[in-house]
Amino acid sequence: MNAILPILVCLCGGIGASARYICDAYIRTLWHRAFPMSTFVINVVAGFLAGVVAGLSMRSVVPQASRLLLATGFLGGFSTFSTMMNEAVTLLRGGRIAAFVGYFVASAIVPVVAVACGYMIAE
Amino acid sequence: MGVVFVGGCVGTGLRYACSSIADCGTFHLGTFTANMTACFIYAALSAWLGCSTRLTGRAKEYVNRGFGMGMCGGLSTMSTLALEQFTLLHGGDAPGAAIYCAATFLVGFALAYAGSRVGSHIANKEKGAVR
Repeated sequence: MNAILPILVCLCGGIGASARYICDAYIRTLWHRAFPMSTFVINVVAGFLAGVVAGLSMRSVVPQASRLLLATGFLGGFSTFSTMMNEAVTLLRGGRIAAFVGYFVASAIVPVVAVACGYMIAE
Repeated sequence: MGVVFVGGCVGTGLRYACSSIADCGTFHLGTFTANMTACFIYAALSAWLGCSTRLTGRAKEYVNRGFGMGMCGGLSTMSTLALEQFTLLHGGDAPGAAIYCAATFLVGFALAYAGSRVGSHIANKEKGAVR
C-alpha cells in the first residue's frame, strides 16, 4: 500500500487536470468577457468540494486514504493557482485594471468562502 | 487531452512530494512552495509560447497543454490553499490565515509577473538572434 497510494494520488491528479481541461474548454465557449470566468468557476467548485471532503472526513465518513485521493489528488489537480495568477498578470499587462483587481480580490476570497460552505454542509 | 493527463500526474506527484515539507508554524510551506514554483514556470512558459516563433502549431499546443495546463496546473492548487486558510480561520487564527493568504497572493503575483517578463524577454532575444 505504501507505494501504491502515492501513484494513485498522481493518477487522480491527472484525472483532475483532464477534468479541468474539459470544463475550461466548455465554459470558454459560453463566456466571452475579459474576466477569466472558467478558471474562477473551477477554483470555486474545487474549493466547495474540498470543504465537503474535509467536513466528511471530520465525521470519519471518509477514510484518510480516500481523503488523500480526493483532496490532494483529484481536487488539487482540478484547481489551479498558477493559471489564475497568470491570467491576473495577463489582464494587468493588457491594461485591463478593473478586471485585474476584481479577479485578484475575488480569487483570494470566494474559494475560501466556498470551502466554508462545503464544510458546513458536510459537517 | 492525454498530455494534460500525464502533465497533471507529474504535477500532482511533485506537489505530493512538496506536501512532506514541514509547516513553518501555521504557514503551510509545502503548498506555498508548490504554488510559487508553478506560478513562475507557468507565467514564463506561456509568455514565451505567446511570443516565440521556435515552436509552432501542434508542438506549441502540446507544450502548453502538457507543461502548462497539466504539470503547472497539477502542481499548483487553489482547493488546498483555500482549505488551509479556512482551517486557520476556523481554528481562530485569523492573523495566521491573513499572513498566509497575503504571502501567497503577493509573492505569487510578483513571481508570475517576473516569470511573464522573463518569458517575453527570452522570446524577444531569440527573435533578435534569428535576425
